[in-house]
Parts: sequence; C-alpha cells; structure tokens
Amino acid sequence: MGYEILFFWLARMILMTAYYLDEIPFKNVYIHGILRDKDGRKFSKSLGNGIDPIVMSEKYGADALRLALLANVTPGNDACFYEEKVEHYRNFINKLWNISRFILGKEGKLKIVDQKPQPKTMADQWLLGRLAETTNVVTEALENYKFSQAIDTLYDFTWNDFADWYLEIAKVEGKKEEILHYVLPMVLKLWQPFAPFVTQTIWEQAGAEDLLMVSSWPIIKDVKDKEASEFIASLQQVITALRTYRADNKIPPTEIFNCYFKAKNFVDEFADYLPVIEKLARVKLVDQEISGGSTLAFDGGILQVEQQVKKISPTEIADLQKYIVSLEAKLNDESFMSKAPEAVKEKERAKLVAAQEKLATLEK
Amino acid sequence: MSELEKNYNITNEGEIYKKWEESGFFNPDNSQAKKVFSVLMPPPNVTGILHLGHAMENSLMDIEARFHRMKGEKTLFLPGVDHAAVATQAKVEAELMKQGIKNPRAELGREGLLAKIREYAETSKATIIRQIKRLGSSCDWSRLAYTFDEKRSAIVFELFKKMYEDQLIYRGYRTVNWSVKGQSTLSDDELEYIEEESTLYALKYSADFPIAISTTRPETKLGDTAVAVNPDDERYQKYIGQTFTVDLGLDKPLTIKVIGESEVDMNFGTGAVGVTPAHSQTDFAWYQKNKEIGLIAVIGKDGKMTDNAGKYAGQTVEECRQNFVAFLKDKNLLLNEEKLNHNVAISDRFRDEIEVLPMEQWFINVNLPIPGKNKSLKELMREAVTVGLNNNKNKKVNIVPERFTEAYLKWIDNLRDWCISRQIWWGHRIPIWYKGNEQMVSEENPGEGWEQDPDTLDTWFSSRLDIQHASRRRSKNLSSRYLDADGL
Repeated sequence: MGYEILFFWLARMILMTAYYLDEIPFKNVYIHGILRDKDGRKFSKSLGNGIDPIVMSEKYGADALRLALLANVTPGNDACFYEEKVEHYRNFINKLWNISRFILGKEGKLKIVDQKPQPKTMADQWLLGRLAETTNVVTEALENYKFSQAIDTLYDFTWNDFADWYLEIAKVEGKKEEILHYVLPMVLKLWQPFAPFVTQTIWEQAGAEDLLMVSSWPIIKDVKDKEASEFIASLQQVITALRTYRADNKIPPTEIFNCYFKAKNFVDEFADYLPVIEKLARVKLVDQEISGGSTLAFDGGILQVEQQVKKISPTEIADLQKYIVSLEAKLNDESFMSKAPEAVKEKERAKLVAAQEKLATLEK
Repeated sequence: MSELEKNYNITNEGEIYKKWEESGFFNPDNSQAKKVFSVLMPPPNVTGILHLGHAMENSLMDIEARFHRMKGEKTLFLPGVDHAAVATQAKVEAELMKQGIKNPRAELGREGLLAKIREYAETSKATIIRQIKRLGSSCDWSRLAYTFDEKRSAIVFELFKKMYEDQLIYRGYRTVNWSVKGQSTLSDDELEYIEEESTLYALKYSADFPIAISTTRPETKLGDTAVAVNPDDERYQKYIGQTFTVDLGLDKPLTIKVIGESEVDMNFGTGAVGVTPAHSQTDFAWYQKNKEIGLIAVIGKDGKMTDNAGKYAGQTVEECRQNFVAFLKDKNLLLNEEKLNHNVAISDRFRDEIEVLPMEQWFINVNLPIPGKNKSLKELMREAVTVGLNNNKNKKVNIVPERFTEAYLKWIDNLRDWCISRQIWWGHRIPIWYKGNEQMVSEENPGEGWEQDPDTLDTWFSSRLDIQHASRRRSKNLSSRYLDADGL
C-alpha cells in the first residue's frame, strides 16, 4: 500500500482484527511509494499531469503498462512514471514476441523440453548457467518484494544474454532446437507474473493447451559454470571491442574488414569460436599481419587486432546526399503520401532518418 | 500449426482474461495445494475511475499472486471495493451542484440523495472492476468484498455492538474536526494540510494582563479560558496558577487562568498561548486535565460566531478576525504582527478549511482497557507490530521496509479517541435507537416509538473487517488459513 494511507488502513485493520478476531489481519505489509511525473511532481488534477492507466493499456498493452509501473519501484520509495516508459516496455514485449517467433520458426510449435538438455558447446553451457542464475535471482527478489530487481534481471537476461548473444551465436553454431525449446518455455514462465498476456498468447499460439498461469514456476539447481561464463565474457569482450572499433572509425555495418590477432594463444583459446567472431563482429580473420593497419588493444590477454580501414570516398557522400534528396521528394509527394499505407510511409521515414544519420557520421 | 503471427496483438487481451477467469484458477478453492498465500487488495473507492496508483498497486499484488500460484501455492488475491462514505457523497453532491441543485441534501432529502449516490457508486464500482480486470489482476471475483453489501453491513453491526457493549464506543462531548461545507465531522485521516501564509499576532487580553500571547486565529481568543506557558519559562513561572479577569468587550468578562504545559514552545512567538478548549484539539486535551478552566464555544456549525462572541455573533470567522483585530489595535493591545507560513487543515473531500468544534458525537476509546483483555486498543495496535499479538511471535505484522514501523508506532502514540459518527448520509447508519431517554443498540427498528440515530459511521470503521469476513464466510475452517496473508 502507499505510505500516505499506511496509518489509516494498516492501524485500523490491525485494531479491528486484533480486537474482534484476536488475530492479525496479515503477516507482511509491503509499503510502496507514490508515482511521480518526469519532473518529480505528484500526479494531480490541478497540475493536469494525470495519465489514465486504461488509456495506456489500450495503446501499449497491459503488460507494457505493468512493467512500466513497477520498473524502478523499490519498497517505500517514490518512482517516476511517464508515457515513454510504457513505450519502452512495449518495445520489449515486441522483442519477446520476436524472440519466440524466431525460435518457434515456420512450424510455430513449441516442443517443450522438460529436462535440462546436455550442453554441447561453451555457449550452451553459459546460457544454461545464466538461466539458472536468473531464475534464482528473480525467485528471491519476488520472495522479498524486490520488483525492480526482478524485472531488471529478467529483462537483461532475455534481451541481452538470450537474444543479442546466444541467439546470434546459435545461428552460427546451429542445431540448437533442444536448448531453445528448453529455455523459451522457462523464459515465458518467468515472465508470466509480470507480463501475463503476451506470455499466454505465445504459449497458446505455440500449441500449449494448459494455461501458463498454472504451469509450475522454474526451479533450477544452480548450474552456473565458471569456466563457461569466463570464456563467454572474453568472447564478448573481443566482439564488443571490434564493434566499438567499427563505430569509432565509421566503418559501415555492411563492410567486412580483415583482422589479425597477434597473440599466439588467441587462436587456440577461441578455436571453436572463430566463425562466431567473424560473423558477430563482421570481420574476416586472416593469419598474416596486415601492413598499414592500426592496432587495437584490450585487456584480458588477447592483445592486438589489426585491420585495414577503407577511406571514405567523396563519391560515397555525394551518393548519399542524392539518396536523401530523393527520399525527401517522395515524402513530400502528395499523391504518394495520400495513397501509401501508414506502414510504408513509416518505412520511408525511417530510411530517411537512417540516411541522414549516416551522412552526419561520414561528414564528421 | 503455422508460424506465430507477425506482431503481438494487444486487442486479444480481453479474451485471454476471460479464459483465465473461466478456468476457475483464480479461485483458491480449486487448488489442492496445502501452502496458502493470500494478498488483500486495499479496496479502491467507488469515486470514479482507477488511477495510476491503483494500477501500480494492483500490478504488484498480481505479480506476487501469480508468482505464488505458479509455485504451487493455494493462492487468493482478494478484491474489494470501498463505498467511501465522505468521498463518494462529496463527489456526488458536487456533481449535483454543478447541475444546478444548490443544496442537494435539502432539495432531494435523505432517500432521494441516497438513490443518486447509490446509482453513481454502482456505475463507478462496475467501471473499477472492469479496469482492474483490464490490467490482468488475477482476483477471485467470487469473493469480491464491497464494504456496503449485506454481509459487510452485518459484520459492521456485530462489531459496533461488541464495542458498544465493551464501552469502547461511547457518546461524548469532545472537540472534533468540522467541515462547514460538508456539514459533517471528519476524522484526522480525512484532512489534508496545505501551507498558507498567515499572520501571527502578538496580543494582550488587557492592559494589565501580565502575559502577551501569540496566535494566528485572534477571533478564537474570544473563547479563551486559560493561558499556557512552559513551566520552565522563567518569565512566566510566577504566574502559573493565578486567575485573571479580562474584558474583551463581550457581554461577559473572560476568566483566564495561567497553566503550565511542557508542550508549549518557549521560543515560538511570545512563548505563551491562549488556551481555547472549544476550538483546538491540543487545548481540549489541556482542558481535560484542568477542567476548572471551562470551555466556551464561540464558533458554530455554520462557521459563524455564536452568541458567546457577544457583539460579533453572526459574523463569519474572517469578519470577526478583522473586527476584533481592529478592536485590539484601538485599545493598544495588539503588540506585533508578522507574516508566517503555516499548515492549514482542509477537508480532503469538501475542500474547505476545517474548524475544530466541541460536539456530542460517537467515539472509540483507544485508551480504555478492553474487558477480558486488560489492554487498550492502542496497546493491541502497538503489540501487533512489535512483539506480536498476545506476545505470540507468529502473530506479528512485518512492515516492509522496516523503517515504517517506527513511524507507525509514533502515530499510535499520538492517536486520540477516534470520532466515528458522520453527519453525511452515505454509509452504514449508526445502529443506535432512541425512545425518550432510552437508548439501545439494534440492527433493526426495535418497535414503535423508537428512532434511529441519524448519523452514519466513518467509512474506515466499515472498511476494516469486511476483508477478514470475506475470507471467513466461505468456510469456518478456511478462515485461519487465508488469514495467513500478505497485505500489500
């Protein structure tokens, strides 16, 4: 309950039950703060800053609203709430949907794997460890009313570990059906209390007949694997460093550049993961030093990367400018704008924004 | 089977909720589990629509309910709706006034106005329940507790009767919070404090009165019967116990006794305050310790000065303040005026400034030892969050986060006898009947010639036990199990 009514409700609830029933009304009372707007003000009629939760749920879905309402909420403290927050979690709900859609594939059917599958690669071992860890943290957080921690942990696992890393690695390694059909149901179960609608919808569309709300909560013995987690952390470090390098040097995302690892032990250590590095960092690993390349250093004993940077040609900038002009013309064309479906127009606008951003980067 | 739809479609959320509801799994009776988890919804008021705070609260309760249900526990998320006496009546009256009905109570009468409020409350109730469902809350709707339904009304009566018979409920003459606009008493919980700039006046009752006093409400000084000073204050110590007669130009002179009260702040204003037992809760408490000083009510229920205010009778408090300050100036009794920001209590629902008035009302005695328990209600409320009820560790209420326990205990310390009678009509009617000098407690009309007390009960009185009752009514055996609950 909110602390502003703590004493009214709590004290009298205790008074009446203690007097009349010789009982306490409840064992635990969780006190939450109040929600404030972006500027830290209370929501009030006179300020006109009210947000109707029902309008939000009709616009973004009830799940997104629930997450937005509870993210950053800690016992007894106030938290901020604003529409962009709901939008942010709507994007996450869509992400969860897309992850599921990808895993379920063309067939669209979940072949639930109940038993923990045997990991075949370091990445498998790491993911199963992270799932166990996440499950335990979320369980403990919910036992102790730490809503914000539960949501953040689960969000990070789902989007970052599972979608951005594991699924990308899985595309390279292949043959992941068993693991994915073990992990996805777990993820859906863990999200069910927070986002009951989308998880039930996926569950149902994936062919499950029972209701997810009465499926059993995951209990996983801690299988966190130190070796695998250290290994994947190093791998992530390499790939992230290469991605940062690409961004810093304005190398277009489509460009595959050559890379040479100077450290001898590197190739041995990452032997099985060289194709993953190539694919995720969009590089080509060569076994000879590259003359004229630059050196990139990062910690962890994997010392150097060299690559060739392609100079940006003046024509590239000119081409991009022409492209932008043509997109702008299209978006100003009344006959196009009146006929085209909103989705198409949306796409064209996005193209324009992307092109403008790219141009700005090149011109820097 | 075919591929998952391209995008997640939120328009099916209503269908999904229906499926959950029809499955029966929201009802814990359909679970075979032994371990019980229940969470009680603090009932939202039927005063309109769900706001963000409700939405947040419902989301966090639902997350806990769904989590425990999935852990295989017999889970109850118990929904409730509060008829919210003052809040609802104030809202409907304001609506009616907007529609041109200037005085709804006078124009529609008790039954007519109640019909309007009932209609509004039913609509709000339906809206709120629909909205709670929209957010996905997995409540057991078969147990919905509305604080104004028959079952809840029955328990309110039982409780009132028991407290009345235990003499915890009494009719007394005490100061209460009064809303002139709402023409009703209000509990301390129904007040809101707003900061306002006002003037702190330093004045003397008469030229030869030895002590100057400070006040923001000079007009109430017409009802003063004492001056309170700090017993440690060397300036005034010598006057404690002395009585003075002063002439403020009223029909009768005032008799002012100097009393020592350690609560008086020596450093605020002149360090001495006029004691107005009739119009201040603090002063009333001092009066109870020093009854000989007497009590003079100078403000009436209509917010105007009473006959006790002599030539000011019939004036509003503001008019009287102006005129009396002019009188003090004229007599050279006004020593100082300074601007000061202070908190003013207003009615959270009627929105007018509260007057403290002495009145005959129904109160709950929070300090009286309860027959058979040898403890007061205050002690029960304290014990439940400290050592556990009846010193039973298993009957201790844990507050999360813990730091609120201290604030709660402090609040209990400052708790005064609680005024439970309201002059509004929307609520449980006080089950006391009168015939001549006779008085009895009864749910129904005891017979010819008996008339029921016209007042209703504070909504807080009725919104407490209903929830326990909701759990109990299913089956006696289940009661203690569902009481093993979390309140969020």
